[in-house]
Amino acid sequence: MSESLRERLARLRREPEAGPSVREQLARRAARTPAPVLPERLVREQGILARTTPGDRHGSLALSDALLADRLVLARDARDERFAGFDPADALYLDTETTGLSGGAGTYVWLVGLGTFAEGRFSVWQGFLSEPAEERLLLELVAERVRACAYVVSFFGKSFDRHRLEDKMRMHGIAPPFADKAHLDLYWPLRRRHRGQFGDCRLRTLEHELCGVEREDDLPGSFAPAAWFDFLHGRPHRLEGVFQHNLDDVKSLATLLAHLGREVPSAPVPATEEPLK
Amino acid sequence: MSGDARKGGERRARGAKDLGQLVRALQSEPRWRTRFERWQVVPPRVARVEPFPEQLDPRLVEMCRARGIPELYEHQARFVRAALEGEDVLVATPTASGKTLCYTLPVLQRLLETQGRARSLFLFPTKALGQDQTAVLSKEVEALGEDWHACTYDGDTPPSVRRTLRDRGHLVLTNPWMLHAGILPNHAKWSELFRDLAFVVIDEVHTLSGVFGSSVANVLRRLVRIARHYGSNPQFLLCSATLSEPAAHAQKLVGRDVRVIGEDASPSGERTFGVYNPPLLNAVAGLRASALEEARELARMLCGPGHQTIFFCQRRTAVEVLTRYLKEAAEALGLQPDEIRGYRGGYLPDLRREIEQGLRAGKVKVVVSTNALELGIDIGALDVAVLVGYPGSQASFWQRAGRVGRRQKPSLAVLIARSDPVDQYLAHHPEQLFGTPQEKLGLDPDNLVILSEQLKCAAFELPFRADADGGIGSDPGFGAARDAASVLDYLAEESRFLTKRGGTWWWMADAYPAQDVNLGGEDPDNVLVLDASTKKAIGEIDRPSSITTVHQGAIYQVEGETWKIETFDHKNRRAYARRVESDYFTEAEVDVDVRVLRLEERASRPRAADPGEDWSIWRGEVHVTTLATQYKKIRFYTRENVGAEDIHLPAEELDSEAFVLTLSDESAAELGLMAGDRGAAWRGLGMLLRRVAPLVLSCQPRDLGISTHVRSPHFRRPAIFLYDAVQGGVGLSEILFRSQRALLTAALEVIARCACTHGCPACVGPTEEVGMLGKETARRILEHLLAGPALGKSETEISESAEASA
Repeated sequence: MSESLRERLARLRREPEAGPSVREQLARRAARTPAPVLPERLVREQGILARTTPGDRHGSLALSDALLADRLVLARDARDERFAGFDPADALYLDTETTGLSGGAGTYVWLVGLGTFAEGRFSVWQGFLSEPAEERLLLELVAERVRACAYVVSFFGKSFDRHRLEDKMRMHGIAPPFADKAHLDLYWPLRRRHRGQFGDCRLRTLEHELCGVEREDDLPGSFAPAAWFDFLHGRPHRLEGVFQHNLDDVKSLATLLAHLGREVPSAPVPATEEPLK
Repeated sequence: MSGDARKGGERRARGAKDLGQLVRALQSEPRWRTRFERWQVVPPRVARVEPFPEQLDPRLVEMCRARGIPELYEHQARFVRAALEGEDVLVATPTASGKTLCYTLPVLQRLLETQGRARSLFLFPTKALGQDQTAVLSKEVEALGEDWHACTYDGDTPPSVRRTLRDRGHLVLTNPWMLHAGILPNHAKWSELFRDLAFVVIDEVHTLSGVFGSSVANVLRRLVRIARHYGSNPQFLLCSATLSEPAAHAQKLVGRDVRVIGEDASPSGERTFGVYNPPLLNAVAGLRASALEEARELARMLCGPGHQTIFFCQRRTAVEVLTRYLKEAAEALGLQPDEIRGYRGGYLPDLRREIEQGLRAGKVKVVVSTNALELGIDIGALDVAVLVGYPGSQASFWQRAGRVGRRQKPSLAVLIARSDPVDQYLAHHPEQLFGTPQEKLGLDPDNLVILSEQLKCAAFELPFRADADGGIGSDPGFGAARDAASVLDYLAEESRFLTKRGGTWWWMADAYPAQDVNLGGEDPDNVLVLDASTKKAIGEIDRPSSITTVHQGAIYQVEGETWKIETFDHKNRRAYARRVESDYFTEAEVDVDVRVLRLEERASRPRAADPGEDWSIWRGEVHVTTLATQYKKIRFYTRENVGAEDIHLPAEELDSEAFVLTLSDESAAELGLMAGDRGAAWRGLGMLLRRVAPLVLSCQPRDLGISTHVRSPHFRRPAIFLYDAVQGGVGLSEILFRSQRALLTAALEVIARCACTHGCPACVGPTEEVGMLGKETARRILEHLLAGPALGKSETEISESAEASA
């Protein structure tokens, strides 16, 4: 590129700063030791699998407690009759990490945590986008797994995760698998039950208050986009922290489901904005 | 002129059943007769019709017949045929020539052919137009008895409707801003629309010039990319007012060759045009009566309860002042005050709808408007149009004149010339008005600022893959853009937004670019004007204008009501006003500083008698700082100056392109520029050049900024700067550079013909500003510049010999 074009661009463009969050994160990173290189296995297989043993606890509940959730209670909470036949073992527990909250074509879903039960054991497959050019491959794997399950469980997924995934799938011509899938978004029933009780209805708050989950050195979700960008640019990154955070999020889906399906509400559930399906 | 004769004329005018009598009165009465420089009558035109094209579905033919349309005008038939045959088409004819039907028929045809699968996208330059057209299209769909949906998708669309529209909207009507920030960045949600996109219809294409047009051209490039991604290749159907170079304009806008249909075959009644020059009050000073005051006087003849009249003013304040004058004179006009309305873009939507409705229904007899009513909003056809001042382009002239003329009935359009070089030029050469448009539209989709911002948005939407040669020539949208790959590289290296990996540029940031990129046509940075006590919005103004219109102490007008600005919260874009009874209005003054950054091109001429330069023109980049300094208080009616106050607001900064004219010191001395009040005469010449610019390029005077120096710090000699008043420039100064001869010729013509002796507002400016020798000096300079050998290309460096002698 000619020198003059570069000069002109520099002068004419009033360059807006990169979002404060990114810069902030980069600044914090400056003093840190480099994180380990990503395992080759991860890059090769497009995802890693974390298996748990039956009886493994996440907070004060065992993950397998989800299997004991009362489906009638859940059906009422989900306001969806399809959950009357709900079997927690047939569900996919979903949580994603993206590069932004605004949606739109330029937002990447780069980490997809999908939890499932098999023979009483809870496993989480974390699909990872190690190269933006491989987006289609990751999305196809995710679509396949969603298609294979009977139900989807998420936290705020109906408003966010599902749409991010669907948008990207549509961009690549992959038929989005969510349309007819019964989806239990735990945020809404939990909010109805516990609004005003704990100060907010965020996942971190609810998992802690209701299920006794304590996270050590958790990397907040806001660091996720920067972690991925750092990794892609070959800079020291915090991907491991994000993977752990995502894993904890998915596990909390299981325990919050267990909590929800365990308690019988003492007061009638108030009507809210969620319409009956 | 005795009072009785005048009253008689008014009575006659009010009793006139047809405009013919009115025109004859204007042509015969001594008071008016001498002031009309020229009358032009365009005889009634019979429609030229053609049968419906054979490919057209019989149900559509039936629908037209049911609406009282037994056949098509020639231009409509040609358009429809070309569209049905798969071409991109542009119809460039005046208002009310039936352009809507041109695009409606192909769109509905395709829907019928595909059993409702094809989709079409419509772009209108204003929300109001879009919403208007939705109603029209819905009715037609209903008439066909099909279950298709026509819906507006804009800021007012409720969320529930948005989803239906995305999934099932066959006809999506929107505007460029919504397309840019709402639809394209979320294209996955619109995948069905893009997959089946058959047509993109764009209305009022002549408004797509300048920054706004250049940005929209890029938004369309993004649209084409995305459509191609989902497998469609939509056709473009364009509508425009008459243009000087329609094919070239369309090509720049949509990036492909477009078939142009320009002959208006619709019928019209007899059209009478009058060019009115206000009387000379002072021949020596060349002072003419104010065009606005003349409009007020003419109103007594031209307004009445039996017909509808529209006044077009150039400035918002003029609209307010004239509306107020006319409302006060309502009784003398035979009208009620509420039958007289003012109208401009800054009014809130509900008020505007009310006035439009009143015009259609015939209840509003007189409307005074800015160019806001120039566009195709349906207000019915009126009878008399008065243009207070030339609107700056022939396209605008014809759009405004096109507001009058009911089928088979005569109409009248009067142009009142102001004390302005262009107006006076046209008053003496009205044939230029009636011929083909002369002005070129400035449109530069490859303007670096605009292109780089739009490439960010495009990269967010779909990554860019490099071709084997490293460029993106094969990209369906941006393939033809100059330097696009280099700009992408720049963005990847210097900003945090893009990353290049393996030959592809990816968007890599937690940001949504379209939100921060504005198209330039409507500044999201608008300043809201609020009632200080109720905090309710009473109007809106763009940011650059705000420093001169809503500064503290400014008088702000809405429909003739005066409000005073108590505080202007510049940072938060809010001005607070209080209703006052004011007998004065305010006018602000600005200081402009221009700094040269980079010179790109130069043409010069050496002196005849000795070595050294005679004069040069240049083209390059500048940085401009504009500071509002003070405002004057001017009494209504008498225009007396009743005071002045300071303005304390931050300066507006601008990086743009400029056209510069410099004169060597030797030549300047020879031409008398060095003796006497040289600065003033040179400034007068600069002002004149700026004001005749609209004769060679399509722009409003305010699109060009000016700065004159007797001794420019950069060039160290007399210099006149004319710069694009937009960030990055949109090619206006380049047009001036190439058309310098036409510019100078027009300026000389104005001076030569001007009736004043030493200078006046209609040529170089009043003698108080340009000195007693102002006009003479400017004429000598122009004659010198135009005589002798032409300019030749030259180095942009100032030569040593010139420096030494400077």
